[in-house]
This record gives sequence, C-alpha cells and structure tokens, in this order.
Amino acid sequence: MAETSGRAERPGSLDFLTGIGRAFGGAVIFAFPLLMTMEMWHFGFTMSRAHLAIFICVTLPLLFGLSYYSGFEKTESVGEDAEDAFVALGVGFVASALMLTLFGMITWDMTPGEIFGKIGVQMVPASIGAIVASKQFHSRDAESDDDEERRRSYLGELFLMGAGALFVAFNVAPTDEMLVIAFKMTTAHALALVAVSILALHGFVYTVGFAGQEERPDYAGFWLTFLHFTIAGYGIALIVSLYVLWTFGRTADIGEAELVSMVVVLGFPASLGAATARLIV
Amino acid sequence: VARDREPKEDSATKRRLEAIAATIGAALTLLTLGVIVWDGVTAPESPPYITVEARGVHQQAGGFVLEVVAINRGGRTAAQVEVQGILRRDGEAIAESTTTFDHVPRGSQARGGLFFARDPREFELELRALGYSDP
Repeated sequence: MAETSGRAERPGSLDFLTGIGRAFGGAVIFAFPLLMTMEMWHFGFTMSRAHLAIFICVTLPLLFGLSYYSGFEKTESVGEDAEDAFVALGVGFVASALMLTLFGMITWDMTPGEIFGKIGVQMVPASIGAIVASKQFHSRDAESDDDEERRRSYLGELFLMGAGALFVAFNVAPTDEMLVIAFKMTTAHALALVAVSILALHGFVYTVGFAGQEERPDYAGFWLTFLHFTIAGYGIALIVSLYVLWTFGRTADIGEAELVSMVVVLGFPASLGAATARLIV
Repeated sequence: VARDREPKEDSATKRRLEAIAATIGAALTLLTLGVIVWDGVTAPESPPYITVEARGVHQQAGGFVLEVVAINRGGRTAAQVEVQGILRRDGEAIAESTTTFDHVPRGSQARGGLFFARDPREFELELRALGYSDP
C-alpha cells in the first residue's frame, strides 16, 4: 500500500531524510568534476576574498529561484523556498568539506582562510546540484501544474537560462584551457564560435519548445522566438561568462580584445547550459 | 487509510526537521562568509615574504636529502617558488641544489627536499627563496 500511494504517506522524518539523501547525491554528482579540478583547489587560496564572498552571496538568490521553479518539493510559500535554499547550501558545504577532506585537500596545518576558501568555492556548484538533483530524482508525477505555470512565465524562462549558463560555464571556467583557447583563436574563429553558439542555442530553444513560441504565426514566430529566447539567451550567456571570469580573476590585467575572446569562448558552454537548463530543472 | 490518520503530525515533524536543516545551512554559510571576509580584511597588503628552513637530513643510497620547508609570512600567495640550497666551506660554494614549490599560500608553508651528494651537516648551509610568480 505504501508503495502504490507514494511519498505522501511516509512518516515525516523518513521523508525528510530521503530528501536530504537525494540532495547529497545531487551535490556530489554535480560537483565532483570541480571537486577533482586542480584549479578549484588553488582558487581556495588565490581567489580574491571579495569576489568569493560576493559569489557565495549571489548563489543564495540563485538557489532561491531554483527552488521556486523546481526545488525539493512543491513549495507553498516564499519562506519555504528560502528554507530550501539554506538547506541546499548546508548540504553543499558538508558534501564539499567531506569530499575535499577525503581527497587530502584539507588538512589541519592549513589556515582557516584556506580551508574555508576551498569549501566556499566548491559549495556553490554542490548546492546547485543539491537543489536541482533532488528535483530530478523525484517521481515525475510529483510535478505540479503550479510549477509548470511558474516556469512558463518569460521571466522564469530567462532565470532558468541564466542559472543553466552559470552552472555549465562554472564547470569549465576554472581551467586554464579557457585562456589557451582564447589565445589561440583568431578573429575569424571567434566570430564562427559566436555563430555556432547562437545556432546551438536556437536549435535547443526550437526543439525544447519554450513558452509562447508555438502560438505565434509561422513567419513572425520564428523571429520572435529567435529574438525573445535565442538572442536574449545568448546575451545572458555572455553576461554570465563575463561575471564568472571576473569572479575567478581572469579579467584583471587582460587587454579588451583578449577579454572579448575569453567571453566568447566561455559563452559557448554558457549557451549550452542556458539552452538545456529547462531540460534539467 | 494511513493518509487520513496522522498527516498533520508527520508533516509537522518534517517541517521541524527542515527548519533545523535550514538553520544549520544558514549557520555554515555565514561561518564560511565570515571566515572568508575576515581573511580578506586581515590579510596585509604586502608581497610574499618567504623564508626557507631546514628540517632534517636523511642519508640515502648515493647521497643525502635535506628536508626543507618554505614559510610565507607575507600578505599574498606565491606561485612557482624556487628554493635554492648552497653548501659552503669557508665561504666557497661546494654544492648547490634547487627545487620549485607550485604554491606557498600566505600564512602557510610548503614542504620539499633538496638532494646533495655530500652530507649537508658537514657544511655551512645557505637556504633561500630565489623568486616567485603571482598565481
């Protein structure tokens, strides 16, 4: 009987533990590529403390928004979304601390600044994983019309694109390869990459079917979808890329031309993230 | 059947647990932010200041290893820190060895070793950091 009627009948404490377990699973699965990236450990002590503190503060509204549009469960109030965001941060912190300790990246002879710096930069992707995956591991029928309604708002779509862009861009941004690619690219390469990014983004937008696009008449529909979702999405991807590069101190001492190249390079994974966010969340 | 029995009590338990978890999460976040900001505010704006100290000598087949530790007392992290050890007798350099530390974070230390063919304990030992790059 318990199996057939689902989670509503389980005792509250068990239900809660299942949710936390899912969150931990998500935190580790989403964050392990970064937990195993050397540059990320180094950011723990080389990153500007101000940039790191701002980054963690930016994560909070991001998690709040993700909870609002998906989240651990159907939320009924703003307070619950805030609660979910803090639970995700806590899970992200503990998961990052455990994994870094397990890898020998945190030891007692380190300064508190280094230890918390390492955990602080890792808890961002881990907490995003915690909040997104707990939704993914849910049975599909738990998805409510209300959630669907929220997500179909234009602002909701833009937010999800931004969140997806941030997460995917963040996964590759710490590596030196981003710089190397930017240095190797000529102007022609950069322009081609912009075109490919926009095409990929539009392909996903078109296939996935964003809100409102199918109701338009054919010809106008294409251009409206293209402008409202694809170009708006690419703009978000570029802004997110620039922010992530700034966060990791990649924008300092760099000429404008190289900076634009780097933004375009990171804009590619950011576009893919923006385009596919809707599939994941 | 079970659904009608105690749904309120169960969801109240869950609520309470969620509130506790959220409080812990908020506390951990504030702690992390606090340490990071404190770290940023208290860090002196001075370049890396690296001293190198000898820790011990071990004899090995074909030579000796001198364990060294590089300590950064400056305000910034140093990358690619090159450390040099020179063995002298009456001021004259007899042997020299170098090693490179990837990172020496500020307020931290990094460990390594220098190999010598002869026993460093029988000479005057000069240890110093040659240079670094900003990470």
